[in-house]
Amino acid sequence: MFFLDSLWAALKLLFEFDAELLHIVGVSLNVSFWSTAAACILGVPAGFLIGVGRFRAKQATITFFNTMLALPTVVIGLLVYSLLSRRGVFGSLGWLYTQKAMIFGQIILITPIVIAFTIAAVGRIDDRYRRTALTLGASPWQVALVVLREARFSIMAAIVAAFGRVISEIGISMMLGGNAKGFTRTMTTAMALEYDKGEFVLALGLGIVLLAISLAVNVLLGYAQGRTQR
Amino acid sequence: MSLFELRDVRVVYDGRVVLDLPRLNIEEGEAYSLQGPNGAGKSTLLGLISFLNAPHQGQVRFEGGPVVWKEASLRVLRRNVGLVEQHPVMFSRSVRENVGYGLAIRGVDKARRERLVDEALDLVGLAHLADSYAPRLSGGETQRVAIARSLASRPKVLLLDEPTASVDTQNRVIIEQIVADLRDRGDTTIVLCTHNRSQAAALCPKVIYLEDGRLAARPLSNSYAGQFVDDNGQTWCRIATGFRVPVPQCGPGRGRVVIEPGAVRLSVASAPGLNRGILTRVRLEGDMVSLSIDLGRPLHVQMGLKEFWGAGLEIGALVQAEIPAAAVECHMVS
Repeated sequence: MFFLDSLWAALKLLFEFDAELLHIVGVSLNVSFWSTAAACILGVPAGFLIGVGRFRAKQATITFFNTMLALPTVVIGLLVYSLLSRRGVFGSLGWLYTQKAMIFGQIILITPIVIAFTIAAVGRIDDRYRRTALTLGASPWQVALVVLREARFSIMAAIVAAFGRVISEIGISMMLGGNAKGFTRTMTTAMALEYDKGEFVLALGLGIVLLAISLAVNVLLGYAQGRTQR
Repeated sequence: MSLFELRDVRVVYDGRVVLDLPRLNIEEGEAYSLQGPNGAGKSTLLGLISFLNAPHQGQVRFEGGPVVWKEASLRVLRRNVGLVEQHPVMFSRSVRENVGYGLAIRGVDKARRERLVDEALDLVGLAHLADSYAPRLSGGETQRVAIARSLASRPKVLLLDEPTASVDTQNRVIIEQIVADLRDRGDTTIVLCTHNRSQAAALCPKVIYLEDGRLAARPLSNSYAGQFVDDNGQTWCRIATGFRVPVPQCGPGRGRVVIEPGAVRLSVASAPGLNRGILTRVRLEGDMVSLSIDLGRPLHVQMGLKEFWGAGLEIGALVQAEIPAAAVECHMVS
């Protein structure tokens, strides 16, 4: 009964477009969007180059990024904190306890995910695509685009996974954002706070939103795949 | 004029010489069949003349100029060549976009591109599939679209790597007709890699035969001297005791016959007799099977793998060779 009551109250908050809830969702989406975008800009080309390149330390590089997938958020939080705190190398930027700090930390968290998944996606692409493009007169850049295009759904899945990872993480947001109401409070940090207070309504409402966003992103990905393979 | 001139070319993989060609010329506008057993170096040669793989040694000239194996110059050269692989892949786009890809990256304007794509699809008889999603095509259709994709850019050379090895009979006939039409037009040099000797003989007047990476004289199979005699109103060539073939287009006398290996039908026989002998050798060549039958003289036969399994043939079995008159070419010795 308690759960159903909380769920009902949470749905009411959602349908009444509660200002606090909407703001928290907005901060989460903003931080997650920019960290995912930056991770894509860095990670997709890096993953592609590692995936198609032939160099001596290739396997070691792949192993490194696969290992980075297991990097705990608190470790990243501590590392970035040490860089951004007043006594840190980048202390003068004044980013600590801002959304910028959260984005910075989350980029470190998910760039290895995008890189590792892009390497795997590109590695799975049949070499005949590259050869076919070459024999049709494509430049190395055009060949790269062909391979990327063929790997696009796996890369999109990597991006979705990375987005899912940042929107649901709590360690970095808490340590670098500080959970300041109206500024750096995200869905996960707000849920943790509400839980500590014993207030489940907002926490549950945010949980529903979190799942709904995840569902929407995956439905969009599936729709894009379906449209392309018409 | 020689389109390709290869001199002292060697390709080495893992210390093993897989291609060793002291001299090979490929003439402009000619149709060549590229033959040889598996592992003879055919695919390596195709990789070389499609400018995908450099030789470890030797010189390749294209249209009289030396090939510089650097990416910038290779890209220009590759635009003269169309390579259709045995199992081609389709980009995950429409058939029209696949066929137009080579033109698009050359910067051909859309109107001209559409026209050339339509022409190429008409040539392979697939204009009705222009807007279909290319990866969903059947194997035979994929092969034909791959040919159209290569031809749309008007290459000087079309390289076909066993284009009919994995397609059904209907598509095989269509692909053979496309190659025959191209050969007759004479403006595209064709190199057709195939294990099917009948197909090679029908489509390509010239032969490049490789064995162990080297040029070799194609084994002159089924060429026999014999006595042409009339019997029961028909002329026969007697090749050996119990081995004779019909030669209706030749008169009595001495002569030479050549029997087309792909036109002979084999079946298991129960007792010795005319054109019956022991199956002495079976060799798999791609999707074809080469067989030797001892009819007093060795008779070489080639058939598809399915047909081979269906006939229930085994080494050492007594088999009957049915040799139709159409399979025999006769030459009188004057």
